[in-house]
Amino acid sequence: MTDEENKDHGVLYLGIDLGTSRTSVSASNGVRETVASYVGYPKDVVAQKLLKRDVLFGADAVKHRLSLNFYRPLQHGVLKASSKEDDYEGNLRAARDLIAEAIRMAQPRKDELVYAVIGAPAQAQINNKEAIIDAARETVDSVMLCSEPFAVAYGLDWLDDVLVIDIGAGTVDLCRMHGTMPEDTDQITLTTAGDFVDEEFGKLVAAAHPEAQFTVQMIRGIKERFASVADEMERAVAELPVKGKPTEFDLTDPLREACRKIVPPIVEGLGELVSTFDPEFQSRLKNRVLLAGGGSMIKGLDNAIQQEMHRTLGEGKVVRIEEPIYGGANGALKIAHDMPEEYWEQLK
Amino acid sequence: MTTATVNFSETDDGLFTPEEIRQLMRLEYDRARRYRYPASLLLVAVDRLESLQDLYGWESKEEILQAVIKALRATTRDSDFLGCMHDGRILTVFPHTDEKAITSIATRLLGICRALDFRTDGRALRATVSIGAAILVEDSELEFEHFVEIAEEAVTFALASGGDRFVRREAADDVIDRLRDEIDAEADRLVQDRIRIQEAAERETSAPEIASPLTPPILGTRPHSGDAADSELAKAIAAVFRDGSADPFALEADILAIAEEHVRREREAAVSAALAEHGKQVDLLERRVRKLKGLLDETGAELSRIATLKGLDSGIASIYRTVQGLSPDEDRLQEKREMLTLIFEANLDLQKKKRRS
Repeated sequence: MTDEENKDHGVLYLGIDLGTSRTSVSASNGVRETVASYVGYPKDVVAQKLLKRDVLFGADAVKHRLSLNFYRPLQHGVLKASSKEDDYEGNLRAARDLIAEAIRMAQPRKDELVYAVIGAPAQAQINNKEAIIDAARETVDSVMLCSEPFAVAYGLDWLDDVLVIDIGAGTVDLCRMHGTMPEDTDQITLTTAGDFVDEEFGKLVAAAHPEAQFTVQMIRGIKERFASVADEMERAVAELPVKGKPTEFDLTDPLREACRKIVPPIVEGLGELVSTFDPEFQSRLKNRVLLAGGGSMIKGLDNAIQQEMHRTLGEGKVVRIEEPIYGGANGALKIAHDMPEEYWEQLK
Repeated sequence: MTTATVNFSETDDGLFTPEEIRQLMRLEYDRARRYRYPASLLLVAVDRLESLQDLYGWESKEEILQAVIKALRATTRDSDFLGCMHDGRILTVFPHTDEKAITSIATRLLGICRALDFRTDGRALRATVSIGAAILVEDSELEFEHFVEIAEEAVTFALASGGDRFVRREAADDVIDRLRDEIDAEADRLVQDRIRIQEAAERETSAPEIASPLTPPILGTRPHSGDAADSELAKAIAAVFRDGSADPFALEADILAIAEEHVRREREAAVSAALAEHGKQVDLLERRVRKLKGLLDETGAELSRIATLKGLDSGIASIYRTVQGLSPDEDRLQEKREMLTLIFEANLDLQKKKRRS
C-alpha cells in the first residue's frame, strides 16, 4: 500500500478462514464471501483466449480444470508450498493468489486502511505462516495470524472451559479453551477430515461397484450433497458412468460408513484433552463442545459425536455453531476488531 | 510567447515546450477553477504515427505532423494554448470552452485531418488523428495533472479503438459500448463476405464441364492479352487454309478443332484468373479479420483496464471510521486483552524471525 497517507476514510477489518477446501472472508463492511480453495492457470495461449482470464478460482477453476494448471494449494491444513516436493513455486503462487482473491472479494476501498486476521491451521509450520503473511501483505496494510479453532471460540465468546472441534477438509483441529490463549498442549490436529472421508468413500464405492467410474471431484460432490451419519438419511442416489454410460447407483451405505469413520478419532482426541485437564472442570469441559467448520455440516454428526462421548467418556454435549462456513472468519473478524491500534501499527 | 518553439522536430512550429505548456496550462486551469469558467483540454495524436515512420520514413512522419499542427492552428483561437508532449502528442488548452464547443472543435479537426492529402512514393496516404478531451466542470476538485491524465486516458482509448475518433472522458462508457458493437458488426460482416466468396470460388471450381467448348467462359473478360493468342489463332487458321485438305468438310472440322482448343485455353485461363482474384480477396479479408480481431483484443484489454481503474475508488465502505479495539465496557476485558496481546506477540515474533532470516 503506497498511498497509505491517503487512507483516512475508514478502517476495514477482514477475518479470513484459509481452509483446505474453502476460503471464507468476513469483513467490517458487511461482505461475507466464500470460495473453494482451488486455483487454476490456463495451460496455454489457447486456453487463455478461451477462458479470457489469467487465473481462475473456486468452482470456476474446478469446472475448467482440464484446461488449467490446477492447484489446491493447501493440503492437510497447510500450504503445499512448505515441502519442496510437487510444484513448490506453483503452489506458493496459487496460495498467494487465493489470499489476494479472498481480500478482493471483500471489496476494500482504496482510501481505507485494511487490517486482516487470518485463521491459520492450529499447528501450521512457521514457513507456512510466513508464506501466508507474505501473500496477504501485498494487499493489506497489516496482517496477523491466529489459530483457527481459537478464532471460532473467540467469535462466539466461548472462552472458558470449551472444547472446539473444527472440521475442515485437510484437518480436524481440536482445541481446549480455558480462559487464556491455548498452548500447543491444548491443541490436537487430526488428518481424518473431509479429504479422508472422500478417500474412504471412494474406496467403499470402488469395492461395492467396481464397474463405476469416478473421480475425487465427483465423489466430493456426492458427499457434499448427501453426507450424513444418521441411520435414517436421504438416499444418496447418484449417477456414475459405466463404460461411458451414466448409471444410477445407491451410495447411501458407503457414504454413511465413510462419514462415520471420522467420529472415533475425534472423540479419542477429545478424551485426551479432557483427561489432561483439571479434574474439577472435566465435566464442564465435556458438556461444552463446539462443532465448527465445513465438515460439521455432515448431518447428524453432532449427535454421533455426543453418543460416542457418552459411550467412551460417560457424558458430553455437542453444539453445532450456526454458521459452519463463516465461524472461523467471523471469529477472526472479531479478533481484528478488538485488536488495539498500536499492535496493528507495530506490525505494519 | 510564440518565441518558445522547441518541438519534437526541432523546427520552428511556434509550439510551447512540454514544460512551458504545462506551466501555462496549469495557470490557466487554476484561473478557470478560481473564476468558475469552463475550460477544456484536447490531446491530439496522429494514428499509427510510429508505423507511418517505419513504413515511409521520418520525413513522411514529420510532414504529417506539421500538417496536423497546421490544421489544429486553423481550428483554435489565439487565446488557446498549443504545445507538444513527448511521443508527438499535441496538447491544447481551450479557456472558456465548454463541452459543446470542444466537441464541435474536435469534430472539425477530425474532418480536416481526414481530408489531408499525402503522397509518398507515388502512393496516397491517409492520416487520421485520435483526440481525447477532458472537460473542466464546475466545482471540480481535480488537480491539473489529473486533468491531463484524463485526456491521456481518453486519447489512449481512442487510439486503441482504431483511431480517427474523438473521445470525451465522460462519454467513455458509451464509446466503449458503441465501438464494441461496431467491431462485432464489422467482424460478422467480414466473416459473411469471406464465406460468400469462398462459396462462389468453390462453385466455380466444381462447375460441370461446359457442354461445348465453344460456349463462352462464364467468368469475366479474357484474362490475358488477347493479341498474342489471336495472332496465334489467325496463324493456325491460315495454315489450315494454306496446307489443309481441299475437302470443305475436313477444312471445317480442322478449323472447329483449332477454335475449340483456343476457347478451351481461354476458358481455363479465365477460371484461373478469377480464382486467383478470389484468393486475393479472401487473403485480404482474412487479414482484415485478423486486424479487427487484434483491435478487438486491444479494446477488450482497454476495457478491462478501465474497469480496473473504475474499481479503484469503488468497493464497499467499512462501518468503522477509526481503529476500534476492545471497548472499556467489554465483558472480561482483561482476559481478552491478554489473549490479544499474546496473539500480537506471536505475530511480532514471527515477523522478527522472518526479518532475521
